[in-house]
Amino acid sequence: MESALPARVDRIDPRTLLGPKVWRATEQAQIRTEPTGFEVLDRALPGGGWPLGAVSEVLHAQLGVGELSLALPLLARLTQAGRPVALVAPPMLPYAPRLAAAGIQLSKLLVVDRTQSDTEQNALWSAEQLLRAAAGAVLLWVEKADAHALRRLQLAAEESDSCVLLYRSERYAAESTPSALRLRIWRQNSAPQVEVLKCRGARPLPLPLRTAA
Amino acid sequence: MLWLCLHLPQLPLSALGSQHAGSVVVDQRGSQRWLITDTPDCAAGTPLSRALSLYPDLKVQVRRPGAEQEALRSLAYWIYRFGQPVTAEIQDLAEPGRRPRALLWVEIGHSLALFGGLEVLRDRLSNELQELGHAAQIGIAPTRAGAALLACAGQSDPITDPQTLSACLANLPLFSLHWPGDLLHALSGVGFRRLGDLFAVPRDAFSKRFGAAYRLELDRLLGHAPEPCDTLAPPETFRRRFELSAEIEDVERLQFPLKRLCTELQAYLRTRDRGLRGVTLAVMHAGARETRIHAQFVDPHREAKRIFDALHERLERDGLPLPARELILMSEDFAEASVPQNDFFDARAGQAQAWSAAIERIRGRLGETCVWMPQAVEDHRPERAMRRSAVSPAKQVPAFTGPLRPSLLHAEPWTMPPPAIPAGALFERIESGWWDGEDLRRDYTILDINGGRAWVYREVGSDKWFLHGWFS
Repeated sequence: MESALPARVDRIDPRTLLGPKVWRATEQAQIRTEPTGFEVLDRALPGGGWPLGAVSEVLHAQLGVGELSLALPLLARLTQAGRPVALVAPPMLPYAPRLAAAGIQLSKLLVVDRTQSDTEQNALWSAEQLLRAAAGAVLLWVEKADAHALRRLQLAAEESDSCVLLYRSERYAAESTPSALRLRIWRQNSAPQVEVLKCRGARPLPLPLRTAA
Repeated sequence: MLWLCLHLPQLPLSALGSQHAGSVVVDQRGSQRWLITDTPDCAAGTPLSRALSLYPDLKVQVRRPGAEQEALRSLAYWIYRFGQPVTAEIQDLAEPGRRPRALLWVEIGHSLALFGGLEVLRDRLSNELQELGHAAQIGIAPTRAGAALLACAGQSDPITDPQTLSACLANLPLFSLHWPGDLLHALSGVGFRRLGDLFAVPRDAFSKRFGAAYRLELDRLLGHAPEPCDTLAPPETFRRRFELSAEIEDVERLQFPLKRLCTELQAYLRTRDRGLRGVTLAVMHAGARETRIHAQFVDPHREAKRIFDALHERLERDGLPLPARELILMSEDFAEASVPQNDFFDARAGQAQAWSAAIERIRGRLGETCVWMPQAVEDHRPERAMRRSAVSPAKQVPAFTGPLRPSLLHAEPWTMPPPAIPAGALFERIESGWWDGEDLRRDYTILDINGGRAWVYREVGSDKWFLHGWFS
């Protein structure tokens, strides 16, 4: 008698009871994405790219490991399609010749400098404003950010139709954040290595990936 | 001719920028003071002493005719988009117990077809008037004086032909005329009750007894005499003064008058079919000192909210050094607007506007130079190969095709100790700028520093090393 019950429940599709948002671990979740432009990485990510309407964290060991190059194909494709993108509070000058060489339409690219005081708040506020104004993608460099601020950013991203890339140092890798995707990037033997720490909608692949950056 | 007349009974109050429900404006003659605007409890014309004894918490303000003129003129510029000629007048008898009549006329006979009929035009006009924060009674008639009298009497049904007009006017009570009280009482004593009674009197007899000027006014009502008037047209530049009723220190309390000025500027821009590129707000303090706030827009537009946001963010950021007495909003920086006069619900255009508005908000808070667009420049010197542009660059320089450049650059190269150069390292010599005195001779190479790829150089002929960028 008692063993019959689970069998019957199993026959009912949980979606008929709980609605279409139920996700079964056995299948791929429906995630809207923008391709990263790197085939290896696209294959490893659920949905095949940067998630839309969500924050993706890029944790980098230090400057110069190819962390910005990871986003250049995305920026190039979006700007060529006429969508505006923004770099908020980059640690140094985003260098126009390199960006143009990557195929980015510079007329669609906006840079918001970091401010002397209240750097984090101003950067997060600016990013939020740009997300509300239908930005195609917002790249944001914020080091110290509390869970509340990150949650707020995640909500702003969810209301938009944009990719949000949050650049932070890899020392925050152990911290838990509400981001939909967390990548770690570093260089080994003069080649960039990418590891998926967390991704919404699938189990992260254990192996580090090599991308041709 | 078909005239539309607006009678603005609450103009003395709205011109002062008052937002309290219990506010009332009074006029004064000698020792007599009386209300010239309505409140829910007290009609205009009530002596102030009686009004205060009944409702002691009335907020009383003294009438300021200059402010009324300014407000009426600004409305005249707005109504210009519905037709022309436009004319305005404040008729004031200065008799105790009588309210002034603020009247605004526009000739709409020629623009009816453009707007799609009388009803449509009238509805649109009413909606926009409400947006501007004014309330009015509307009268429509073939004569200016007739339209005004209908508006003041609250008869909003449009009258388009002279016969109906004279029949309708004949029915109005004698006291709806804006004539001196003594005269009206004399006429009433003779037994006249309605305008029709006056029309019936032989013209010579009327002129002899009560004066030719009043007979002429009756003729003008009916369209038997010409009605000369001074016409108003919006000027080439916008300038609107707004006197505050008291000194204001708090930026938050400037919001209301500022919003109103911005809405008026929007109406002006719509009328002249122009887009706004830059605007200046002068905040006047005591002793003729002033604070100027300037806002420049990314693309020409005519949205009151964007103008307000830009100015308000700057006011909030910088604060006021002294209390404000007066606001002056001015602009002469116009361009063809990038949007049609009425929105076409074009999603793309709307998004571009939202993007520009976001840029302006961020500039308002973080500073003018904080938001920029990188622009590539054809120059071999790395520092000069890019420029910060405040507005979207019109054309893109062909992409740089030389050796790979770093994606992040130090604005000022960092000095560093001489590094260990691996065998077989390739150098790129950049030697340029001898013609403008900013010449440089550098050997660049790519180095691995702690696992990151760095762009470093040595000045040729020395052993000084610099870190210039990262291949991020």
